[in-house]
Amino acid sequence: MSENVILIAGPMGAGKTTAIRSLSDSEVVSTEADNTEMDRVNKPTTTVALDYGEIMLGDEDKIKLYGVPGQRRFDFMWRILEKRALGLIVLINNDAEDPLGEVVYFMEQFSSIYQRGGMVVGVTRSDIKPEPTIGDYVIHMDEHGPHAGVPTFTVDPRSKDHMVMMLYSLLMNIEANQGVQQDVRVSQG
Amino acid sequence: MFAYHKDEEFCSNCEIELNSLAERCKGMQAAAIVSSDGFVVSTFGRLKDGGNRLGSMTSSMQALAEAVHEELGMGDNEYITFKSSDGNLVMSRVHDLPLVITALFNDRETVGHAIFSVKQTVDQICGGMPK
Ligand SMILES: Nc1nc2c(ncn2[C@@H]2O[C@H](COP(=O)(O)OP(=O)(O)OP(=O)(O)O)[C@@H](O)[C@H]2O)c(=O)[nH]1
Ligand SMILES: [Mg+2]
Repeated sequence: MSENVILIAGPMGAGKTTAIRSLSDSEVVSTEADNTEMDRVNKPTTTVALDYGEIMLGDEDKIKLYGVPGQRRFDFMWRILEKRALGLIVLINNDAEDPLGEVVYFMEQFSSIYQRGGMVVGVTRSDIKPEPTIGDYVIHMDEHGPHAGVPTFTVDPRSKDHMVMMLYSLLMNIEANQGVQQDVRVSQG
Repeated sequence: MFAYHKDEEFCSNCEIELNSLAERCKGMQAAAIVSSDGFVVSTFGRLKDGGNRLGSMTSSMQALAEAVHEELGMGDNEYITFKSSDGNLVMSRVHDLPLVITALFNDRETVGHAIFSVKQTVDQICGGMPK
């Protein structure tokens, strides 16, 4: 059986904690604290260290899911957790102040995972604010990074189906990229 | 949720309490009181970037310790200590308030006296409020 770590990152209120609660087969570990910045993001609590959950995909693959805090003051947790991550789900709340700026920010913050093709983007809360569109995200990312074609979806983190679909896509993509890298090595060697 | 770090009177009272803690513990080198989501309420001693980063880390550590306690069914977390060759770090929740105190002591201070003194400060901040 293999065990792999997938990280979920993104701005405060994007739905990272919600997503891990939807996905996890086991009881999740949460580190929520009372949110004293309700004027910024209106929700009662915020993650201050991590969320942790686990999901089995098939009989063989156990995925360990870590959600990181969205607030930038906790970015030391991003640095600690990214070291173990195979892949990254970036959730962006479409009603954030600058959602396109956020996606590029997270692309840069987790550039090593992005560079090796281990990142997917999930746009959340688009029922609350429908724009920008998925097309806007794709164009914006292509303009700001060297790698075209980061898989991008509209998702609702409260839906297990949406999140499982995105997780599968990420794993498939990672597998495909690893295959490409091996092919390149073979043809170079 | 009431933002203690934005209440000037509360912040200056906390500063007085940290100074008093330093009087009782000559080996205390630095300390901070932070909101449970990591905002600095007040600090003592010289801390990088006004203690903002320590504030965030304190909040993460406290939450992780509580998650471990919960996982193991150990009851409420009372305090956390870190021992290094140079001394001890003590962290504690401020009773039921959404606040955490963290204090760094050199090796002139015994860990027992450090914990006892931090607890006294916690009681003082709560104004003797019953736990
Ligand atoms: N209507 C709607 N609500 C959503 C959607 N996605 C998430 N939410 C809600 O938005 C909130 C997100 O909160 P969290 O899951 O705590 O966000 P987070 O990303 O963990 O935030 P931090 O830990 O503070 O960084 C929850 O109340 C969700 O129910 C969506 O697509 N539509
Ligand atoms: Mg969260």
